[in-house]
Amino acid sequence: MSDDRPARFEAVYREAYGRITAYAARRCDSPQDAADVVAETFAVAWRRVDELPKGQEAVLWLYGVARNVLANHRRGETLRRARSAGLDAEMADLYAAPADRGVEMSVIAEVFRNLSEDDRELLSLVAWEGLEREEIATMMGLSRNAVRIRLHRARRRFSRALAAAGVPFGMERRMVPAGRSL
Amino acid sequence: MRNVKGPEIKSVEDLIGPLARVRPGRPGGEVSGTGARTLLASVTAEEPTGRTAGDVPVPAAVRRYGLRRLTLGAAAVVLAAGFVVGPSLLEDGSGGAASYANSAVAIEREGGDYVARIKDPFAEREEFGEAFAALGLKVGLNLSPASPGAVGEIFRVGTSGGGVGRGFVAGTEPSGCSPSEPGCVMVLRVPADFTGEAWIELGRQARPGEAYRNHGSAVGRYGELRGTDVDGRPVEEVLAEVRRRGLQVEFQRIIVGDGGSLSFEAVTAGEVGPAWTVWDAEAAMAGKVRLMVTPEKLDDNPMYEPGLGPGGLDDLGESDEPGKSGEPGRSGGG
Repeated sequence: MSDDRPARFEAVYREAYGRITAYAARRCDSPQDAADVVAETFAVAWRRVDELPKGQEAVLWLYGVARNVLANHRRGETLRRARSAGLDAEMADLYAAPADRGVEMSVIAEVFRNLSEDDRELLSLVAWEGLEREEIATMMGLSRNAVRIRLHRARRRFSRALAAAGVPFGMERRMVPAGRSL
Repeated sequence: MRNVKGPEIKSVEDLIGPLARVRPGRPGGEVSGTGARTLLASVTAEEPTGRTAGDVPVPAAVRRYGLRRLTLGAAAVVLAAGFVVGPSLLEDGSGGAASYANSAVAIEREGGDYVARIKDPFAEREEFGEAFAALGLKVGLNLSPASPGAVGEIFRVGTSGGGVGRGFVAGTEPSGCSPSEPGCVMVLRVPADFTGEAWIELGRQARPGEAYRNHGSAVGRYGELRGTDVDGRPVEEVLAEVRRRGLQVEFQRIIVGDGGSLSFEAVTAGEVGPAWTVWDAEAAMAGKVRLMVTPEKLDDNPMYEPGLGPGGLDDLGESDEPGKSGEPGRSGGG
């Protein structure tokens, strides 16, 4: 009865690989870190394959694992950072920013980076992973209502921080990607 | 999608989309690539061991959204054998389990749960009650018309006494199907060691013209105003979108009491001014939405503010489809 596990895992792996790698890459500062997060996520998932849900929920479950792996990873990183803060700043200059990022986008990026990790993660799950509230609720083990409230507040905090930074809403349409509503 | 809203406001997600290193909607790595294949091979080379030291926690039971679990304590009392004899009451030989079926529902013992498969969602509550009672369970089950997102979900539950460490779980079979599809069966799992009394309201499809009993969102995935941002907008703007979509509308006024408690009062369209503020939109029935309004524009959405009624952040046990039900002052909907 356990013989179908490799096939089941592989099917989920194929389905989720693109999304989990994107999730990691969007949140890690270096490709090495992202690769570590992806590998660890799938390693944990395989060890716990008996708990892997069926269908679409499997991907959400994997997002949840990846989120925990990433959080773990960041804790380690914070310790390292404490020792190499100066060096970090220097390296950051070398780590080239995308050339097409205008001044306005830099400000938005800066404001976004300064949000709490929870707010950033929620907004990213909507904007980057394209998850619906229900899916985020499933992934995080929260009620839909809780997700709705948290998203509402995260959006509001972001809006206020943007306003404080002098970025009004209603900027040029060119910045609209795959628009999602909540 | 957001066409009601004037051009001056856009979603914050629209702003941060371009910040993503991997563009939204794009995959990261290529699963057919060497890296992906190598990783898969190396990961699955070992026997899956379950949790090992140093592993991060994995998400607990992934839940169908809206699904309700009640945790009522840990005392486990095994049901005694020897139940009321019913039309198809069967014992399984262990002396602790049985099954029962009538035209409304078939209940079977599966592991630690009784699994009730709903055969007729429109059956009267007495028929469900009879089946549970035959197995010694004091479970009052009622199937009520619900908005599409809450069909198959538990949207109200109450218990008295009893001791279970797990909960009542609603789902569908085949797993994940929508109850509106043919062949899709609603399933309710009741812990076999539940010794108390429970009242469960499970969403079923509404008949034409039947008002929903839950308070589902009209702007969410299943809502008829899906994609519309109503939060804090003037009534006239939201109404324009309601009309554009050919929907009917009703109103409830939100009354914020001392200490932030909320109550709701049905108001007629004639009483509601065009400049009143809309804070939320609920599905009232097919083709009809309920706008939650206040005469004045408040600083923050009263439905969601911390400490102000239903939206309190600590209120994690409830979900938004059914979640606002059961609160004091809340009318039955529709």
